[in-house]
Amino acid sequence: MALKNNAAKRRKKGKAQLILIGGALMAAAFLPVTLFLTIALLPALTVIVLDPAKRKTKSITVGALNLAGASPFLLDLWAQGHDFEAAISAITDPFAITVIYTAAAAGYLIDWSMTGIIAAFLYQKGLARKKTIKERQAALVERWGEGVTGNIPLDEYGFPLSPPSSSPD
Amino acid sequence: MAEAASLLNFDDSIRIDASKRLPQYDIGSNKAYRAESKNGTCYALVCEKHTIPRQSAASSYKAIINPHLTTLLKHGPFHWPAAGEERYVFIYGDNPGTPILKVGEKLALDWKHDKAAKLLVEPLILILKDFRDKDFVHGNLRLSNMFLHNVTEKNAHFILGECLSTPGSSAQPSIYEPIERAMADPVARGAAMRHDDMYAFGVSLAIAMRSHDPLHGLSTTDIIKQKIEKGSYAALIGNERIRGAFLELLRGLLLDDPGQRWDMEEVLSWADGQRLTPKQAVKRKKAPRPLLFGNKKFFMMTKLAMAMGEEDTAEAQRIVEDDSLFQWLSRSMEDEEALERVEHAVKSARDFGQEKNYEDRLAANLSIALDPDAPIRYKGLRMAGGGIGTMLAEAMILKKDVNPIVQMLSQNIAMNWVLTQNSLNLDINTLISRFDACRNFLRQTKMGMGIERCLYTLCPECPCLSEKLKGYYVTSPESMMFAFEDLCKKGRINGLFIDRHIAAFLSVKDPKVIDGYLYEINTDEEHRKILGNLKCLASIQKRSNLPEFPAIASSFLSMLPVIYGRYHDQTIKNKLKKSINDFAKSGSLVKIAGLLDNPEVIEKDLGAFQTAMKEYKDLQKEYDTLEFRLQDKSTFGVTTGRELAAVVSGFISFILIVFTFFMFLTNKSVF
Repeated sequence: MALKNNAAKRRKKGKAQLILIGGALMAAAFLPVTLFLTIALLPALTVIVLDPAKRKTKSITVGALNLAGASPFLLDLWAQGHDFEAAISAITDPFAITVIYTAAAAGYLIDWSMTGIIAAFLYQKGLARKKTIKERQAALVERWGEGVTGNIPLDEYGFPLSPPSSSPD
Repeated sequence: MAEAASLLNFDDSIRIDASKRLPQYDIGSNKAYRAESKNGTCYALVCEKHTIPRQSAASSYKAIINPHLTTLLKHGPFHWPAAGEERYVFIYGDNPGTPILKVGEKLALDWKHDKAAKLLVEPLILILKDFRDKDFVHGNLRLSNMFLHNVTEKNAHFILGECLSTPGSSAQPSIYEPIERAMADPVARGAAMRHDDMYAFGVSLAIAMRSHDPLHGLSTTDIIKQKIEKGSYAALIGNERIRGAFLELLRGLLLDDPGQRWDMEEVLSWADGQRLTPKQAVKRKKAPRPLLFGNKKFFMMTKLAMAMGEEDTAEAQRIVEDDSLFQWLSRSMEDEEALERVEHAVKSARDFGQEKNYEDRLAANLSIALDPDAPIRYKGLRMAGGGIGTMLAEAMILKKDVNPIVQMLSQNIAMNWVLTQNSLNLDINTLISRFDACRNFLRQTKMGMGIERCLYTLCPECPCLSEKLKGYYVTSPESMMFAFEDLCKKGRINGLFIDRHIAAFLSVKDPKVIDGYLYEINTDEEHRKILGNLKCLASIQKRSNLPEFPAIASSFLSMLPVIYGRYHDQTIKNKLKKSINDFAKSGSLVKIAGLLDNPEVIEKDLGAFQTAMKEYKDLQKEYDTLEFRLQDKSTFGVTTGRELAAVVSGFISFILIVFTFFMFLTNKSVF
């Protein structure tokens, strides 16, 4: 079993290395795009670095809108010949940077607001659930007796153990 | 007014006058009272509590139609106000007349031949013939129980008194009993045989005909010794000379060997005029040299056995240990069979150790070995094998010590007695199996076993002696149910119904109604005991097709909460309570027991309870997790919120990118 796990880990690590190498090669091949995205996606990259959550949900929220904000300028970059000059022009365009970073800020806003609303809703739901559980447990005790709680020692037939009475003789 | 109050309705047709005693018809301690039926006067015999009447013989008795036999009209338990409890009562038709011999009168009537023939022999032969034909034994043939209806000799009519109100021959003076039966305590003589009736006929005739009593003033033991020494005929007749045909009859009837004694065939042949010569009475063997026992010299085994069992048990041990008994038997008596029996008796006594009760046990076993026909003699008790039950019943009713009887059964003394019997008239196999069963019952102390079970096994006619049924004469499971119903109506039943006596009684009378529930009745668990009691009584109700018992059912209602407590589901409990309350009102114990004794419901209840327990546990687990997570409000639900935000953001981004791409492809500007 341990051998199997080790093999799986090795395979996963190998795949990540392959993607990294592939990504690096791609970045090198499309250097102007890489330059543009590095500057445009700075808010997303910052969140990725700072987000402690394992599933990186906040990074997805911010990153997705950050990318959506950058997408029109990225397409323009492609259309204008895909060179360093166009890339620098795009990233130095205040309008473009404002749009891209505003989109990222919207991502932040969504994350903050949705998390707050949902957490408050779930908290109230949790309190309600606690009450329901207690009510159900009380109903169970009422129908089945104190023995159903499992808090008192029971015999093989599920009845509370009591000291034996005297012998019939 | 007082007279009216003393008139008791036995049933619709018979009234007993409790104020009018008829002492001449008393049988033993059972008292006779005047009674009235639609057909005229009659009399009632009220059995004492400690006498066990022969109820099962009543139907045979009733079937005998003979003008010389007192007629049985009715019988059964009846509430006797003077005793404040039920007593067994026999109602006999018409007053039989004056007893031939009143109590305390001289035992010699000096009747002439003709008178004896007309007033005694002829009617008695007719009655005994009917008894033989109906396979009935009277056991109470004696002159004080024989009556003459009109006292003048010419029109006197002979009537034989009753015999059902006492256990076999227990009211019979010992002089009327053959030697071996006379040796036993009256209550422990056991059921009489036909040859015992023939002997009593002979004694009655002898007393009627003799002019003086040669045994006058002698104790019972001395009379027995006289009979042993001389033979019954010589002892009873003495030097008197009986002439004519009655000599043969008396000699034939008074033979001490039951095998040689005249039976009905021989008596009938004699009555037809055939002259039969009775066999010469075989004299008991006497040793040429005596055995010294307790400073007395003994020449006969029978007398030695009497002394050994009744007088000096320590001396019995001495003559065994110094070998004098063995030497006397082999050298003087020259009786190898007796020697063998004695050796076995000693071994059997030693099998149970030589400490506790050894002397008494040895003496009892030796007494049996020396005189197998005699009763068992142990610690002052003298019992024939068939009479142990009635003696035990009497001892228990009168609260006497029953330990000697317990020891006699458990230490094989009774079994030794029955194994030495070679009489064809005794049902040896039945006795062996009963004694063997009793030995086993005594080893067990649970309800349904013990000495109580021995009592009802050995004395099947004994009523149930349970303290709970005090005041009632219960002879069957059915009558027990009616007694319980009455007791419950009066509120006199506290707690459970079945006790040691009732369990043993039912187990003997009808094992099917209780044996299956004995485990539950004997358990320590209250709910099982109650259910065992209920199922047992329900079983009687069902098997005997009895009517409803609302009072018993109502009494059970107060005990049932313990049983309801054995169901987990409150819903089932409520349903059960409702149904059982309905059934209790109608008095159907069968339906109540059927509801409570349903394994399927119990199994389902347990299964559902276990599921409920799991649900409770899962809920508790969920609660604990929630409780823990809700403690930090700042983190609760954040992950879910972020996930949702990611989904929303992802969705919006997707729309935006697709829109941008679409605009790009159509050469339109987004901005």
